[in-house]
Amino acid sequence: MRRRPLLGALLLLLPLLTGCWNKMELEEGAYVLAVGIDEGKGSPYAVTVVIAKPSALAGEKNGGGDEPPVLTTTAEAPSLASARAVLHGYVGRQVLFHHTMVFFVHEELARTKGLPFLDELLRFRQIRETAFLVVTREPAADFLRALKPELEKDPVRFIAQLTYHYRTSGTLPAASQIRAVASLLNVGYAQPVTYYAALVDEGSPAKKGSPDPRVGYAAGELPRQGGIPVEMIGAAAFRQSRMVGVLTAEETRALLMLQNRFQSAYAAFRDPRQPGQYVTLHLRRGRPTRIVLERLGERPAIRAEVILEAEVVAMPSGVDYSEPGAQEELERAVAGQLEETLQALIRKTQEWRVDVVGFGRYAIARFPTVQAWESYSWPERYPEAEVHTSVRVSLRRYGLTLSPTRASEEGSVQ
Amino acid sequence: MGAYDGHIGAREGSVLLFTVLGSMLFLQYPQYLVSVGGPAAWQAALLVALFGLVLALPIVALGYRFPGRGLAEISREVAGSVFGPLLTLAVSAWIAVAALVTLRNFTETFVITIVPDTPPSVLIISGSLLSVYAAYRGVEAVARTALALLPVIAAGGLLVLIFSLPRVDTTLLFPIWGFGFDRTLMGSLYYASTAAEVIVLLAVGHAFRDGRSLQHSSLRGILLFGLAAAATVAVLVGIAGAPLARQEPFPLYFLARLVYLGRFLQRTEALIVMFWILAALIRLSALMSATAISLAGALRLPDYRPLLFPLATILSALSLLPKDYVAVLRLDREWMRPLGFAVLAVPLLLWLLAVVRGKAAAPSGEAAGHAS
Repeated sequence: MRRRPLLGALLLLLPLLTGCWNKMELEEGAYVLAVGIDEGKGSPYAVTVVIAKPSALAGEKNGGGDEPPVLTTTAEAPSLASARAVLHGYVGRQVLFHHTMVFFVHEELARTKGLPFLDELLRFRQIRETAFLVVTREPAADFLRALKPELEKDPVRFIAQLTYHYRTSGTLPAASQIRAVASLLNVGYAQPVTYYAALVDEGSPAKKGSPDPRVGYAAGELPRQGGIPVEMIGAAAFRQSRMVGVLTAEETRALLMLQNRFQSAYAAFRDPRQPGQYVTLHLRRGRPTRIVLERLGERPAIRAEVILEAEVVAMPSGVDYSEPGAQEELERAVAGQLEETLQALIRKTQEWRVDVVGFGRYAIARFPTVQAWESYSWPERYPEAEVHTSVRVSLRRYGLTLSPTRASEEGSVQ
Repeated sequence: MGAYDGHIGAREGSVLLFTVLGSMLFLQYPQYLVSVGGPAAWQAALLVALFGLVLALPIVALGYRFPGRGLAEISREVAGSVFGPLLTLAVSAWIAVAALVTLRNFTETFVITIVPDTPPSVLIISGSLLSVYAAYRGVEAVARTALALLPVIAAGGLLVLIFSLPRVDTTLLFPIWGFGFDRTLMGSLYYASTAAEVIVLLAVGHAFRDGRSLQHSSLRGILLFGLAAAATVAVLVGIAGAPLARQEPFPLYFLARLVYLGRFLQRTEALIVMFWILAALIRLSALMSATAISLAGALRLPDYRPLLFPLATILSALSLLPKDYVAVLRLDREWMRPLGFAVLAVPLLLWLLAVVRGKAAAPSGEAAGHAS
């Protein structure tokens, strides 16, 4: 009997535990899938939000029809959270960033002012640190308005799927999440890279890249026709929080190789016996990349050894590289061309004074304390570092045929 | 003394202490360790545990000398009927402030991370009432609840750490000696009183049948806490890097937010918050029980239970005094931790007095057998 009042009191307390103050029905929220950040005219930022229309995203069967799956709108404000106040002037639902997966930043802003909004991305509880950061060559608002994928309804899912290509093509950095960028900004041994994207105007005579690894492609330079007018390939490199340059797809692949994060890719190489012809290989990581810090001091010396395995996918020149001597020649040629790209990447990053590879990782372990490491000042030493690279490629397979096909022989110049 | 019925075994005791100390890992404690050790925060965690073990030795010694007695009884017997209760009152005041800080700290944490629109007073009142109820059921009930919930709380923390492992960059744990071993050592010494909550076990010493149970509870609890803290800060620093980890007041929440195993497992913070609540309530209940029991002992009251509700009311009201979250953190770091040494000095003083005066509990039964 004595327990009844206590039980009653506890039952009365239950309503306090429901968290009613934060209750919100699903249909009361406007869920932002992607955010674009540009420099504002009247305010520090022009914040573009891509808000999901759940019924349209669900597809025709569920009543979506031809309705655009997202609402894209731009508001000028000093911060993301304060942009909500502007958006709430004309968006009926409560604007929420809990499901935001990608933040697009205009290159101009990233180059001139860096990432001053990063503090809010790390502090504002609605934003997740696992969201991606993408630098866009054109204003982020323009990019987001043009982002209308053809194979997907959800534009953000399309971007997420593009990011998976780092595993199959090696043309994007392995990590571009807010958390990864923020943690590298605070340590001295490596500088961050992010995804890089661009709008394409097929009508304009834009600068085109080249399949030659010495030139390569960056976003906005892909030799193509058709498809949606956006590209995301290559990487944006940062010094501290400011963007300093763009890495091409080939350089990004070289970056992944040096970072030991390369998985596999189809890549074309100049045929060593037939100039003007290409051999296409499927490259895979053979063994983990070995990086040895040979010397510290005024001018550090680093040795990097990349070991890859390859399978021939296309050999149109008709040269039979399965012959022992020829195979070694092809392996050496491919390794040489990859080494050129590695060296191009290193030269570029030394000019920019950014160690995006993270060679500093191998240096930091040599220092006993943080003070000793900081006084050595790796970011200032890296541009002077001697970086020796070597690539070893082992041709393991030749696809479904071993010797050149008849068509190849006919097309070859013997 | 019907109010003090029930006993705690070594297992329940060590789990109770581990939960009381370990719940701090959900809060700013890892941040302290990172500020001390930088990349070598895991060393700081182990050193703090080591110092904590040393500081807990007088409690163990008192447990052997006075098996089955609590702080209030021991201090009265050893230090006299005036000085003894004063010492007990001082200790209970510290534990009360620890409860107050815990209450506000967890409240602020919940408001910042999950329920931003809920008034803090609602959380404070709910937490206080639940802990009063648990304390009312007795220390044994609190300890058994801690034991029963340990698998859930530990699994919650461990799973977050395990799922975070793929993101760990071991380079972030270098330079290996952080800011230098001497600085880590000195910093760890400053935070050695993090384990001062071990005094809770002495305050409820009557619940331990013998000195051995108290010894195992104290030492194992601190040791487990040290290992859990080392693992947590190693993963935290390995993911965020020391500079960011130093600014991260909710480390496990931060890690839980990063868990992302494709589309299959993400947003695990909703889960961790549940463990957080359980750990917070156990800590609060244990602190509340220890305060009330010590207070009742010092004031020679036959039962501690009538004190619980007024105590909770006072603590709830006082917990609203710090003007903001930073003030709560400062109160803990700049007052509670240094004063923790003074609190840990009380058992040492009592033990020295007992040795000098030749005081000990009358040998009887099993307890005396263990104490010898």
